[in-house]
Amino acid sequence: MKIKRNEFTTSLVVIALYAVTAALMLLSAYGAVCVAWDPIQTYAVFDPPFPPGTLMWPAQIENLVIFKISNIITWLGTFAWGWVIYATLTQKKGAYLTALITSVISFVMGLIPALIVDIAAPGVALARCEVMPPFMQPEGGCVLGTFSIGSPHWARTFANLLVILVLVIPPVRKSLVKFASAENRFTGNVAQQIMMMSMFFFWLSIMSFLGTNFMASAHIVQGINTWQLVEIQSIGAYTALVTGVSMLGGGFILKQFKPSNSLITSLEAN
Amino acid sequence: MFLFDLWAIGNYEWAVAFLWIAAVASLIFGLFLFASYLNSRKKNLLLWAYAFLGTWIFSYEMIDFITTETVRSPAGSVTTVTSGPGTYALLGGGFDTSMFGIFVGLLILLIPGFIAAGLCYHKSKKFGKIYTLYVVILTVLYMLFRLEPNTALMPTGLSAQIAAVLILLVQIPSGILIIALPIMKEGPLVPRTMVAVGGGVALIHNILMGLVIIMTSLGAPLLLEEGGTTDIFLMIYPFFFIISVVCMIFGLIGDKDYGFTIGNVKFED
Repeated sequence: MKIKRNEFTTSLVVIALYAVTAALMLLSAYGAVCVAWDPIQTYAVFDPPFPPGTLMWPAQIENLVIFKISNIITWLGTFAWGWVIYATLTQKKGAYLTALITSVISFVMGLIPALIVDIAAPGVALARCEVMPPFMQPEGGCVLGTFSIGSPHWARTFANLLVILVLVIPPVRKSLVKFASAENRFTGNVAQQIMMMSMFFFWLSIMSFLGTNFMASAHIVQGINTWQLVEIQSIGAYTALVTGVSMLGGGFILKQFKPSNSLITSLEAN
Repeated sequence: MFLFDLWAIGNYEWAVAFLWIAAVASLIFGLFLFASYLNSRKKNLLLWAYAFLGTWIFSYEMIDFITTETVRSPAGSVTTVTSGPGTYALLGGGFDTSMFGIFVGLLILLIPGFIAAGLCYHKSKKFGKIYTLYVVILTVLYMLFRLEPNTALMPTGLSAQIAAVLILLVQIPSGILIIALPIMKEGPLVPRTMVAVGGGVALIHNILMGLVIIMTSLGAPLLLEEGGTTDIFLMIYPFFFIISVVCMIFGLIGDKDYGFTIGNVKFED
């Protein structure tokens, strides 16, 4: 099936949107770890040590299970978007539906904790608010009053909402369906596909390091950078990097054994 | 009480996500354009590939500029705004291009210059070569004048002023070419005018950026809460940017006359 140029372009811009949504989900997953899993190693350096739940708002303590489930789904959602990008680029059936399902689930699981955090009864004082990092303190002081969009959950929530809104537009849907036509496959064989998807993991790795850098500067409490104590969050960045390098290398090796069509035709063929 | 406070969303850093989308889209299309150039050896595709890859890098520089600008101390005092290249220059005043640093300054010249040069190549090879040479020479001169303060050969500030003029000497004709050449071209209205629309939107946000620089150099306040406009500009800039990038992508890829092809993909031309 032939595809119009603007349909091809639309599909690739939508893929760029998928990639950014994946990155925002990864950063949100990072940002929510310390409040979802309440790392106790943070407390040891403070004297007197903070009691468990210090860095959490009362609503988070009461709904901890929801925050933990949301955080797990956010981590998984990041890689789900990777699968969606792979399925779209390799013209797999169901790529459009997978994208829609992923965005809806991610939107819902982002909206719930975001609303819990940002809707609070007037007059409620946050536990130990005065020792929180500045970016965590609500504007207007530590006694909550009105609802305002400020928690880290909103970024990925809005991103997934944007994806939903884009996907339901009929011309976009038509473009993605036509893009998925097997006749137009340009991604080559498995070897080239692996190499192409290594770019996604490099992208995740870049965003992971950027996110870690941002969080480090935002988590200074009483002069101590508490982010450095939560080293597990850097593992995500290194894992994505090693995965990307492995895929790229594996793709190069596999390409030696499998002939392939290519984005670039040989000069002799021209 | 339900109150939607736009400014509470991390000090409008949420708008930066649109810069990310523009960055990734520019990278993808830059690589596709380069692949298409290797197939067809058309110089306009190579120049556009450079421009889009430059746009990818420029997007990240703008992300860094905007997010650095918005980080504030708890007191909210202007003097305690976290230092960044853009912040430093805006606070220091002066109508010069030091706000971006020399590397990004080169991109400000090369991106519109190469897009216009590619359009010139499509019109006529000779015209394309001349304009490409013009852009490259002025870019080299810009780099030299930006490095001149290290030598102290010229009066203080003069080299920065000349560098700013060099930017205008590339941006203004490039903007005119990007808007005029596609409109003058024959063919279906929609794909070709997208390039002109993208160029027009880019021109608008460049003018806005220039006005912000001039007003801050004349002592205008930076922050909205003090009556300034820098906050508003930084918030709306990503939208202008992504519109101009996406319009140019649709225009340059969408018009078959420009010669973009992908191996194994059959277009309905």
